[in-house]
Amino acid sequence: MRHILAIVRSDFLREFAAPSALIFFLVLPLIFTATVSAGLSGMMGGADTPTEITIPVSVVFQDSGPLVDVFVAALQANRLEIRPVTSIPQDGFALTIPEHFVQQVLHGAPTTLTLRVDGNDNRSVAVQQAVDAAIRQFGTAGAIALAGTEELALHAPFQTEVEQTAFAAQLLVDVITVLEASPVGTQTTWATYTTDEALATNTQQASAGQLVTWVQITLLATSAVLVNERVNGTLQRLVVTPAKRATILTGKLVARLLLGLLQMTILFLSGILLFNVSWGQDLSAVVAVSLAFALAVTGLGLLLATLVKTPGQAGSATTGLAMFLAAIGGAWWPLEITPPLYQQVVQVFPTTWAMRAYTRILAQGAGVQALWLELSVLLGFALFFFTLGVLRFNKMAVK
Amino acid sequence: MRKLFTLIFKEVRVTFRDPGAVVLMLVVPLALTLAVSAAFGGGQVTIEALPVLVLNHDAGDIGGYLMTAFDSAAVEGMVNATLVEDERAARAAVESDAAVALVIIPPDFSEQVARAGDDQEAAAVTVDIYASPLRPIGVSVVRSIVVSFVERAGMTAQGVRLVLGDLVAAGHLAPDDTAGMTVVGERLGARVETLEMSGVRPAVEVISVTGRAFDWLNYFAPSMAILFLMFAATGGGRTLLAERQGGTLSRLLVSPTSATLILVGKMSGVAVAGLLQVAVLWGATSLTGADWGEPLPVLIALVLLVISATGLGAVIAAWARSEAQAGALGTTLVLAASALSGNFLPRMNLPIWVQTVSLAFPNGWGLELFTRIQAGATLAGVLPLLGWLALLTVIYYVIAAVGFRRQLV
Repeated sequence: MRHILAIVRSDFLREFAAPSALIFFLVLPLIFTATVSAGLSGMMGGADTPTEITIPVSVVFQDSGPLVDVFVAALQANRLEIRPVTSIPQDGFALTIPEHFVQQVLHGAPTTLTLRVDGNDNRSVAVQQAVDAAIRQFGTAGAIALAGTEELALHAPFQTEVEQTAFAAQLLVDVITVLEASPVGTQTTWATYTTDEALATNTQQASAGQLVTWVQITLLATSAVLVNERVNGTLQRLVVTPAKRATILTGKLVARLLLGLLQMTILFLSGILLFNVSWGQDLSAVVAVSLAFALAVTGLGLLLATLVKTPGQAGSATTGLAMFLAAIGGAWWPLEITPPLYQQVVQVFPTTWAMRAYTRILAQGAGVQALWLELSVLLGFALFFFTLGVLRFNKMAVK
Repeated sequence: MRKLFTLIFKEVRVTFRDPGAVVLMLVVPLALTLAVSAAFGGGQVTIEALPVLVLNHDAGDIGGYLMTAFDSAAVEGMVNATLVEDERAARAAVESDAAVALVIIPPDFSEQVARAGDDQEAAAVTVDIYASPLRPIGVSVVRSIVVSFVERAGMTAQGVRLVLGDLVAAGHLAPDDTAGMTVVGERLGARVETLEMSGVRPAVEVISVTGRAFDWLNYFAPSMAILFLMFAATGGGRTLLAERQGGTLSRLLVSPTSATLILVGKMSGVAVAGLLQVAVLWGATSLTGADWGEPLPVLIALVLLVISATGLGAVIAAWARSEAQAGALGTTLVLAASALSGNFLPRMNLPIWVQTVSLAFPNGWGLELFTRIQAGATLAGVLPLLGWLALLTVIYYVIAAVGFRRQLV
């Protein structure tokens, strides 16, 4: 135990000897969390934005009047920031409301709005959906106004077309204002384990994803540490000391594991203090998942150390593998939006199970018992990687 | 010139002989691009066959029509709705994530819709949704379908009430003529449906500047290429420090080759390796379906990006004191730049001030360039951006030159 602690202490001192360690440990993960969170909010909006994120759309008005204003209000209610312009600008989203738009709607005649989107802007879909929603509301109100006008005309024909159109216009306004007077509500209750109704926000999702990404880099760097020692000859010197080989390896691995857990703790606390991340009410679930994941990835780092030959290779493999596993396992984008086959295939990676567990803690308030499957799989990964890694490491040492 | 080519060739050969470097330069960005392609179904986010359960308690008829909303052409294939009767089993299905949501239509739903907009008795029309928190996007799809249906029902009810009110006021219907009102109401409802199906609703013509919808693969292919080019270029500059520490640089300096030529040769070698890297990534990702844009502006942009990234690597090599410090600084700068520039998330979603700050790095300019090129910009159209990137590159090399002069004098 004394030898293990000595090795742990030595590795910790070496790790934090350079100030840049703090940048990797803390600063970069926080920068990533903030920007990814901002990016996710920009893409999807979120419960943690004090005001709804709106998408600016330039609008050319070839028609005007109170009913056009009603239509614009419907667009604004669907998260669009309307910017009146006289001509279509070169960049950005642009909508043209054609001439006689309202007249056409009130008479049931075909009319077409033109929406210019940028195929390189992933908000194009959101803009299209918002315009479709506003048109659906306005169009339905228009159809009701038209039907109502026709019905009334059956009983008492209008004196003039102007009178008929005025009636239809007023009916359209009265119909569409029902959306304000009696707003449609969907009361959403989330299937959670706690009474806390807060859903995991974009910042929380980003926080979990970035935590997994950066801690993976730290823990997979086990490979670089071991390879460095082997190449520099210090590992061989340690082996000839009275400390057993197993003790030395354990010390190295424990040091790395503790570093990873320390980083996790700092990132958890930073997330809570800086980004208001709520990690649920069951701290033991967070601890259990973090420990299981850290064990799995440290084991993978050990295995990686037996597969690479030089520190440069170890460094490249660490960065590359950490980023790949993070991306594919749901740390960078939610697996919900991926095809079903993809969601099945990525279950062979530990990151997937860690993200699943953290998401369930954040979104459902799941406790340790509810996470038995995720914990079992992560510990299974740890056992597999450590077993294979130790066997290969011993074989290399024998040679 | 022969010495220059020798230095360049040596640098390229050393780079591509290192398996670790090849992994980081080529394998990882390709793997990530393929992962994106697989994750986004070849480029688009797809929502399909969401399992939704519907529990209809409505005493009236309107609740029953909600199922038709889930089966409508507008959401075809997106939702797989099933009518259920066992609420407990349905909730359990949502809790186990077997269903996205359980939509519970209240007993007085028809009544609530009929009263919608009535000044005396208006109240919010509410449908309960018991949702899986693991599928927030799917839940928002379900919610929007339900809201759309209820809005339509509410507006139709309001329209019918207003018309009936006008008919009664004008004496065409007796206030207690329930049968007559029912006939008129049903006729109105049917007429509204006919009008909507006949296309009376305004249409939207969508024109995409790029001629196609947003494609994640098209965004990520150049994005990952730029990111890993930055890793390689900043790493290449580090080898200069390794040579200094190893003593081989001082041996080179006492040779008849000038210090300037040695530096230029070294950095040119890094640049050539970078060019080969991005060329391979461009070609390989194009084979998977990524569309980088018109070849000429892409080529010019890539060349300038390589030179710029090499410049940043030169800055690090010129001012870092050791190889380890250069490695740490390089990785830090690359990762910070990538976060701020939008290498991992579409750039246009980041706050404007973040996008502006990112223009201090080649990443930011690279993503701006490819956004324009993929939108159809010609070489002339992106010349201003190329100009600014060239200016940034010059600044990098000036700073690097000052640092190298300090080091080598």
